[in-house]
Amino acid sequence: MEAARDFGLKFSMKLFTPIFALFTWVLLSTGPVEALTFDEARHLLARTGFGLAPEAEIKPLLPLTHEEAVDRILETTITEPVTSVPRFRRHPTDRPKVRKMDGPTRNAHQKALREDRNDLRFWWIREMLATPSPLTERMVLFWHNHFVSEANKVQYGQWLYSQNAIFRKFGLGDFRKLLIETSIDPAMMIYLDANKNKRNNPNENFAREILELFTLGEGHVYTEEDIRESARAYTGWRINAKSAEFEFRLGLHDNGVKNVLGESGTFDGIDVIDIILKQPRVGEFIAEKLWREFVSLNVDRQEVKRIGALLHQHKYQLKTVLKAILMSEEFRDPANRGSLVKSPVELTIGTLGFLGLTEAAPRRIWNHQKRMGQSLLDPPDVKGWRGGLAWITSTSTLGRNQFLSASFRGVRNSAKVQDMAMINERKFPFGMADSRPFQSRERREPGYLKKLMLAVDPVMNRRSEGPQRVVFRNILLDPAYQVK
Amino acid sequence: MLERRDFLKFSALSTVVAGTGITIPFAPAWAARWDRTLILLELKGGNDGLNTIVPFTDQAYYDVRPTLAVARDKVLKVDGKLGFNPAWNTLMPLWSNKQMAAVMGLGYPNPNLSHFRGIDIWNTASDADELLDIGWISRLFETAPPGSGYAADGVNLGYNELGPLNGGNTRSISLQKRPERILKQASRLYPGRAAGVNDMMAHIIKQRRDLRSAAENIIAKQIEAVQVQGHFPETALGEQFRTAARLLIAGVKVPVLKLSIAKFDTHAQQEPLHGALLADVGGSIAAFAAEMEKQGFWNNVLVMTFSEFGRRVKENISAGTDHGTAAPQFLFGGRVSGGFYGEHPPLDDLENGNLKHRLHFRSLYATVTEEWWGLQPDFLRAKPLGIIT
Repeated sequence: MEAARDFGLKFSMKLFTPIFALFTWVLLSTGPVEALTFDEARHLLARTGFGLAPEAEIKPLLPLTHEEAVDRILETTITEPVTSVPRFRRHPTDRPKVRKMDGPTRNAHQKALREDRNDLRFWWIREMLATPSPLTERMVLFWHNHFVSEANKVQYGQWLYSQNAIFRKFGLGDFRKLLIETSIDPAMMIYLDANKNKRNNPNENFAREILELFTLGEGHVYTEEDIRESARAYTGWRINAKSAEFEFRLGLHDNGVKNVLGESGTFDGIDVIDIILKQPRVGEFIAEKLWREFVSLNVDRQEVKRIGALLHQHKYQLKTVLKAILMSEEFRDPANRGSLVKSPVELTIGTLGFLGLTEAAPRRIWNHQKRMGQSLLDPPDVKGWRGGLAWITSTSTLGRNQFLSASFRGVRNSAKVQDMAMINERKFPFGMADSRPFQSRERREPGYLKKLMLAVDPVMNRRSEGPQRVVFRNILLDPAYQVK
Repeated sequence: MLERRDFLKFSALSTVVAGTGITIPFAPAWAARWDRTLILLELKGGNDGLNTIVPFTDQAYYDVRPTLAVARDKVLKVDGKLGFNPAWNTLMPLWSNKQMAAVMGLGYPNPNLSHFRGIDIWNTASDADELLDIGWISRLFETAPPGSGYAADGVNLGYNELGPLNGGNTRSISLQKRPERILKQASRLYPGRAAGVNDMMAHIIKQRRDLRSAAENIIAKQIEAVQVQGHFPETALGEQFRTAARLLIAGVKVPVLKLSIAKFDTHAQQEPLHGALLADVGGSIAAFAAEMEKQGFWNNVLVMTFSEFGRRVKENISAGTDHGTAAPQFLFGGRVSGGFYGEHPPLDDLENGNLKHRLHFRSLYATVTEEWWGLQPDFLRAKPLGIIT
């Protein structure tokens, strides 16, 4: 309640002269006026989903206030996948030494690992298409790009899956838990060489990245000395050869006194993580990254500071932070609509979901995502996909267009396609979608499709009003469809 | 013939001093010779330098490579100590004509043995512990953009990675496998009206406009009408070089072409695969050189190889080699003064079983930027090697 009033006040102060302030305040705090408009509901769903609002989900939001709608989306997130997890060919509990294999054995082993990694990618793509909570998968992907690991270094599908499950379980939960669970999970330990960190010979890779990329941000608060000192605290972290799980080996741990971020003591790794988490900068850093993901590439410093402080005030609850972001004035500002570009994953999953092509072969979807520059589990380096403007290159531009043309081809009146067996895979790579929904009454309204599918006005001189297939195509292929 | 469109392009190269109406020619000190084309050839996976340039008098080489060493009598000996892999016999005429330079022992401090980090470092010309987003050629283009007189800044004919052409404002187009089809698609892209759109839309529309204009420019040159007769290998790489030749002969103006060939990650059963890869590279370059020579372009093109790392000195038990460090790279072209540059890293001075680099890889880049294009970017922090005349 208080938050809503607070919001109303802020909104009015900034935009209107004091003479209108009271009037606006009254407007925003009375029930029925606050109900979401179609555009607001569409924007909220597109931004928290895969760049496009599923048509059926807009209507149920319309009677709600913005806050109620945000709450509903946050409350319906899940912590477990809804599809069944792949069975892997190779298990990290049984890790043979590749060095000692002869050529053919080695090739077969590596092929099995490669297939396991692919199965995991395909499974994740299916999960994204099937999930009742797109925001959950958006957060899994967000953390995958925050706590980066590359499949080629981690090798085992099982390990990569465990990490993915942590992101789903804690991705909108407690940030402290998320940070610790991810840090002591084998995927991260291997990727950042944490398991090579021994007393007397500390490896600083993990110590550096946790400060630089996971909590404080490059050049903020910490010094090189903090990296060296905290690396000593993480010594003794190991992956048990048999269980393939985290273990703490006291014998390899440096028990001495460490000086980290102004505190000193015989800290271990978890102590140091708690010391880092005390820094108010952590909340700000996470809030800024979420801001860039959900609101705009232009960061409002003051807002991000205010929202970041919530992380510390509310026991690291990420939902509180994300709610504040989705409630922010800038998120609702119509000027920010269409200011973010859809990532390749958003473009593909959002479009296929929208078209009802959810049975499309995941390998094909992955190939298209890869061509557009986002192969799941293969971020370019420890900094992850850069996102934003970097998604749009000459190569990805054509890749995006090819994907959209190919998926559009599958939209046919299935009654008219006589023999399903004759369907040419090359021509309809994602399968067939029923085009009958186009005949729905709403879609016959002039401008409805445009309003449903685009965040900004189309920029191509093509027909974008009417229920026809060609209108649908024009909207899909308009540059405006690339933004959300 | 100079058409109106061309004339407009040329006039765009002059600038009007604001308010005065006086036009001065646009020729700043850093004007680069972008009319000279660089062909980047990426050897993906890490080429085994030690089996490319063979130290055939060094017993240590034969000791650590019991199954993989190139037999002394097979080596294409070019001086008292060094020779080439026999798979490069096709390149020997270029070597004798002094149009092939071998720059040896290239690497950088604290080498990274990961493919991904390794190639990022080579792509961006970064230090080992520095993460940069923009490729080194794109960084060059930022200081000296080729401009609208060129169909595109870069054309990628190889795998779907722009590498050194990545990021920045680089106008590049990827024409893998079926260039005609891609050109057709790109030329049909409708960029859209840019008036009144937000920054993101403006960026998207600009990319589309660049792509379409590159495609139209290339299509206008009618590359399909250009037939090259040379004996290019019937391989993916041979095809890339053939397309490169057709583009250049058709008169497509582009400062950089990127080509690539994979499978150099020879962990197991290195032979006969590595020999076949080298034969493919050698045959393709030789055919390309002959075609360029015939058409009078050879002085205007420079081929440069690069690869994320070399390989471990000692062979492994799978008759392969693991990831290593320093390796030679090669330059080919009519303006190259051929021969060996740098120093072959000695096999008795290793670090974790790997060769120590003798020359920073950025000195190879500095050679290209300074001696080929006439640019001295400060980010390379290396001296050119005096290879190009």
